Amino acid sequence: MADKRVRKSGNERREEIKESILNIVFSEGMHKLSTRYLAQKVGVSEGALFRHYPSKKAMIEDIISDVNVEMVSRLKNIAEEAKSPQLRLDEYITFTLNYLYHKKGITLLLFTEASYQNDEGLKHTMDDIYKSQKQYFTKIVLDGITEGIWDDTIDVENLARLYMGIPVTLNIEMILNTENFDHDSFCNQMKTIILKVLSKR
Amino acid sequence: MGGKVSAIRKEEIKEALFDIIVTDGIGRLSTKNLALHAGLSEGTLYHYFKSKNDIFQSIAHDVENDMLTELQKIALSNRSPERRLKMFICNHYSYLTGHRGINILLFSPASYNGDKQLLNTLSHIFHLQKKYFCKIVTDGMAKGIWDSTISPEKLSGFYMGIPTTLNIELNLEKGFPPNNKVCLQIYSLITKILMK
Repeated sequence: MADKRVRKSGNERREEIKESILNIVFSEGMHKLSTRYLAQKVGVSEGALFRHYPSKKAMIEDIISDVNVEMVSRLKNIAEEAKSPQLRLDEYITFTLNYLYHKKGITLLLFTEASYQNDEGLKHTMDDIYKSQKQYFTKIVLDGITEGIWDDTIDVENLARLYMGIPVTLNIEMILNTENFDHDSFCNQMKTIILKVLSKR
Repeated sequence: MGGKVSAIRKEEIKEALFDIIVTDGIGRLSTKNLALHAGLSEGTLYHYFKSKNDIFQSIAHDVENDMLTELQKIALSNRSPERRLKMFICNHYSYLTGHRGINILLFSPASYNGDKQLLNTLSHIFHLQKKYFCKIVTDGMAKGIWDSTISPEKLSGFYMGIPTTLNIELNLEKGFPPNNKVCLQIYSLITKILMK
């Protein structure tokens, strides 16, 4: 049967599918994510979903590969740019929080899917994403310390841990405070806090 | 059957549940699997708890009785804010590292299972931890010891990143930095933020 409606390209469709997955995960929870429900949200048949992806797992893997391309490699660039550590840190935090704020559902997917499914391959990828973010952040901080800008007595490892809690805190705040969450003020306060830890006194 | 036996049995079931979460992941947690781990039939399991969510609620209740009561006591005691902050962080840290299953359960949204009541209980627990921490910070600012230009609310959110990060690291690596030094390091980072 020929489809009389405007046919969307495979890429467009895949984008729609991924967007719907994130929406479901963020607003309704992981448990709601069945291919049947997803198909309904996208407005296609389940069969059509499987023309674009062989399985739900493949969809999730595609989202994660986007995160690697769009976020992780961008963060690597920011961390390695020939700019001052202060500027890099500012860009790093802004970029991360904006990305996670606009792609609601990513954090949940990244940090809970692995534990929920207990899929070793997936866990490994998540582990890499987590560690890379921590590692690039650490690089900027250590550069600043080496350049004598920031306090060399602070415990960088635990600062990186506290920093890595920010995306998850952001996520929890967004879920619990959906109506009046102020992203910019959240972002600025987090920067102030990190800079205060780093400052020489 | 006496109440004491029943209480022991319930503890055993909860222990079995933590074992499964820590070793196999929340995804593997079925009542069938749980009965097997606890050495009971599924029927017997239902005699003690109505459902999986019923067990989660019971665990949440334990957390309120143990961890939250202790943290509240610290937050409200009449010791100096610095002393309270240190005790708070170290108690919190040692409870969460000592109860890995609880930590996973409390901070993994997957565990909500779409159950609204459970989600409410868990966000209540999250908020109380934050609130007690916030109380100490606000007291220190009121006494003029700490920098009051920092938002106590946001700093508390930032602090709550620690348990969540530990949870992620535990999920991913099945490992924890267990030593006491970590909580003191976190304490010194937090006090640096608070310094005038």
